[in-house]
Amino acid sequence: MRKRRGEKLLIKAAEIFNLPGEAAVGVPRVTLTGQRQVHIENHRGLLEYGPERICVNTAAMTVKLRGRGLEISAMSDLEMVVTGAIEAVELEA
Amino acid sequence: MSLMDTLKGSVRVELQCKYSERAVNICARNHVDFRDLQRTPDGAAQMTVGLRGYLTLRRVAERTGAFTVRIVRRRGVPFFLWRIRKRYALLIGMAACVFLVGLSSLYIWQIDVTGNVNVPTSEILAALKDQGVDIGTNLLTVSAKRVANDVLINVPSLSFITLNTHGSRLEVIVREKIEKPELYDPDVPTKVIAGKAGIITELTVFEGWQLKGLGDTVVEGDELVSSFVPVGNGRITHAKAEIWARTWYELTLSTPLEAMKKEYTGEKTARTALILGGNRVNLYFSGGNPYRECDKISTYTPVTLPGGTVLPLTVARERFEEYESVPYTMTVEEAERLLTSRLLFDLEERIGEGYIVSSDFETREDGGLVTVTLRAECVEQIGREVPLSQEELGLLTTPAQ
Repeated sequence: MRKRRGEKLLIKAAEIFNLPGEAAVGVPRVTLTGQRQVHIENHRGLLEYGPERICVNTAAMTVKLRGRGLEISAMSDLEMVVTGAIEAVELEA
Repeated sequence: MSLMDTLKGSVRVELQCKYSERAVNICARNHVDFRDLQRTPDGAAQMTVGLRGYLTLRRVAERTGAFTVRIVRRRGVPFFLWRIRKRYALLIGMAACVFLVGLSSLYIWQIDVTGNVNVPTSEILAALKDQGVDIGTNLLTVSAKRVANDVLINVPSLSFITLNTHGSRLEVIVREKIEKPELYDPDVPTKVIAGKAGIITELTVFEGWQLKGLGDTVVEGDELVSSFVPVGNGRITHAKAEIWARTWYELTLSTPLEAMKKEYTGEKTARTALILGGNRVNLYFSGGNPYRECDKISTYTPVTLPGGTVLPLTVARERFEEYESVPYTMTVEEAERLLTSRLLFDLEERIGEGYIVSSDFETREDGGLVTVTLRAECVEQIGREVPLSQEELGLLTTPAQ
């Protein structure tokens, strides 16, 4: 709980000082390229994966991807690339 | 699978544990970069990792005990070399092959000349050869700047040349000199003569003294405009005029009705040879043409590596197609059509600047020989500027006694 509060404070501070959030406090950056690719930076691991649904844990929320033929085409400890026919990107706080 | 994957090697592994997401997260946290993650029907995770990633993965699996690793597939050069590590002859052969390819890349095996329009490629290649640049020349001995300078001196029609090497291919880019247009020089005394015989229909004299008028009949060589203008004390000029005249042509062509034509029998054969450097190695035993009468089509394909590196090897393929020469009798109409089109083409070539006013064809057949005669009336520019000879100039400049 303390960690969450600290992150919220950092996000607030980044907003005040006009700093990019993902660089300052590890806020996730989700980049959608067309309907075929999602690039997620600053993730904290996979929660669930399958061809129709992939859930990714991040510092502030859970990113849920829905679609068809979803596949994690590349992944490292900081970023991942999901490809497939993406139908929805949901953010769950 | 990319070229780098092939060179560095990649392993498709299956991670088996109760929750494969956990295994995947452990991999990511331990800096094992992977791709093409898929869940198998029994819940395991399959992924592709590099060779280094695979070794890390094994260590992580042993340390954490969270999952087991099973190899599904191994691909790439490191695994191939490991498999053949005891086949010495093969290894030596591969090393020799790599060495030879590396060595051959030090030599020129193909020369491409681009940018030339009027200067023949053979002339440029000959000039390069004179400077010691030819197929099989060691690239290290070629000084591109020196060769370019010397070729420019030896081929005066070129204004620019540059030599670029792409592996074993030498690219020669040239630019030709632009010829200076012929300038009107008023100081050179000329006269205008009739280039052809005809009746003058239009006459425009820009400079000089007009000697013939409209409706005059002239023959080839007649002086139409003199360079001497007898006004005042008289002066010698550069005569210039446009003289249009009616001209007549009578052209005749003949052809026999009996001719031979090719009839393909359907028999075909092909032969292959290898050209190594400049030496040809035939991959067949019998030389010469396989048929008495045949078409021969040769194609030469240089062998190149992926990426465009040219090897000193060319595959020469010769295709033979047999035919028989069979007698063929043309109809008079066919022969007439053929000769008419040739005569018209010939006439247009002769006219040059002008046009055909009327034409008439006459066809005769005599003993299997068809003769077509074209009679045509044309209008064309017949004036030709000719410089005065020393003798003519002397006569004009000598004061009358």
